[in-house]
Amino acid sequence: METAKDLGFISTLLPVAIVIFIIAVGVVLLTQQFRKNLYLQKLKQEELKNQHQIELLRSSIQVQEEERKRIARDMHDELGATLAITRMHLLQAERQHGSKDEKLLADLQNIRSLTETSLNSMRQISHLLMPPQLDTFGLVKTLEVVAAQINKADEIKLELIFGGELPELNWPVKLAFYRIFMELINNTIKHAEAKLITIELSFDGKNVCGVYRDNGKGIEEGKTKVGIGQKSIQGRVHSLGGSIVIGNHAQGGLITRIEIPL
Amino acid sequence: MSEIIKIGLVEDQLLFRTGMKAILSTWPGIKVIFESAEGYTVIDKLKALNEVPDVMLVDLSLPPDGTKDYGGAFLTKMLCEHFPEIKVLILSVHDDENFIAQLIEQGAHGYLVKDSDPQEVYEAIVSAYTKGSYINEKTLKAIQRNMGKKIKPTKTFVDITKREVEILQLTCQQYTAEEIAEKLFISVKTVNGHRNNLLQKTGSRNVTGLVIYAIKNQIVELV
Repeated sequence: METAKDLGFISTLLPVAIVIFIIAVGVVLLTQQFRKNLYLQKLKQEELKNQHQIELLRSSIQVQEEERKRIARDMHDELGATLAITRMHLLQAERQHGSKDEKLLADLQNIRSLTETSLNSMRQISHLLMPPQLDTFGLVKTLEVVAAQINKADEIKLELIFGGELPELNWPVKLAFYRIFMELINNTIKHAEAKLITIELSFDGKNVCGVYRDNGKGIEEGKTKVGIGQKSIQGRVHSLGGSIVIGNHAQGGLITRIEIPL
Repeated sequence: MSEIIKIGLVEDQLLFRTGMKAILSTWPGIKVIFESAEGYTVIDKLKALNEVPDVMLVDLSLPPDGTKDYGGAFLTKMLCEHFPEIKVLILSVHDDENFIAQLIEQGAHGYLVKDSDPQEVYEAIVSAYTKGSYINEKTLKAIQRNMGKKIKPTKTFVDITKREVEILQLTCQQYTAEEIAEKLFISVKTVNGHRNNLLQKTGSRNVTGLVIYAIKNQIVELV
């Protein structure tokens, strides 16, 4: 009798237990699902935030570059033209009045040479702000001009290697490569005690790849501080969805590899 | 020279334009008859005139037409198309070889940097007027270097005679038809005949085209 009572008890308890179990499993599954959803939502938010940040970075670079372009052009065209015509007037004056008065001739020549100096520094500043060739003639020709200038100074040699035909690069990409290479060249000249720089550009159908190498001291062991230049390089590459690796080459010197999708 | 060379000035920078005009006015035989501060109105303005300039001094960077770019390079192209008889001299602050070569390729008859000696500007105007072009050493180097990059292994040599080669070489050395005739012991008429043949054979429109052809095919070399 007792066992039958027990059985009766169990038989009434069992369904209750099963129901409770099912409910418990359901609750667990639901919270898991809920957590998963929450996590996904967070991930999405994070992604949006990242995207937003990249966009912010990109637009801040763009604003800065546009401003540079405008200043460079205004300086080059307006200031350049005024200085140029000043020089012409001075040359005319030297011819017209200089033969009569030696002191006057010397003064005029002095002013002319000052004008020439201003004209040269104006050109230099405006080219640094924005090289005029980049927009019209592209990255390759602009780098060729840079190479010619550096090689003329005869202190360090800059070699350019172009692997096959490069496609037409859009403005942010060519500008990014130009600025990055200029920053790297400056670093090499300032710190690396190198004799040779090579810049290699190639295209694999998807990414534009730039490899920069010098034969200098490379990066010092244990130096982890990231400079402003380095940060701006990384910012540029990042803003275009590209990747960058900086390190020392096995044969000495610095090597930087940049890939930017087209 | 008894003729007056008529000059057109296209330059947006007022100080440069008036300054240039003042300098040009000091030379007898040269007269500025046309001025414009922008490029996009030039063709229409010229069409309305009954006499057009012989030589146009054109700035490389000119203001855009609304949102459309209308620089000196484009104006040069348009001038060559609508007024092939006008000689175009570019005056620019840019001293980069890429710009120089591009402008010559687009039909300019000479390229001067704005900080040139005024005497050179004068010589360029006279040379463009009398000889059809003015190519200084810088320009020649720019064209040559630019051509060097473009030379393809397949050279398309047009069938030109030995005499024509001689005349082409002398032309590139800036000799006039009279001087060439004297050097080669032939008449001026024959020289001009050879020159016309050369223009036709090489598909050039003017002497600048001939010079480019000569460099391209290594008939002359810059020393």
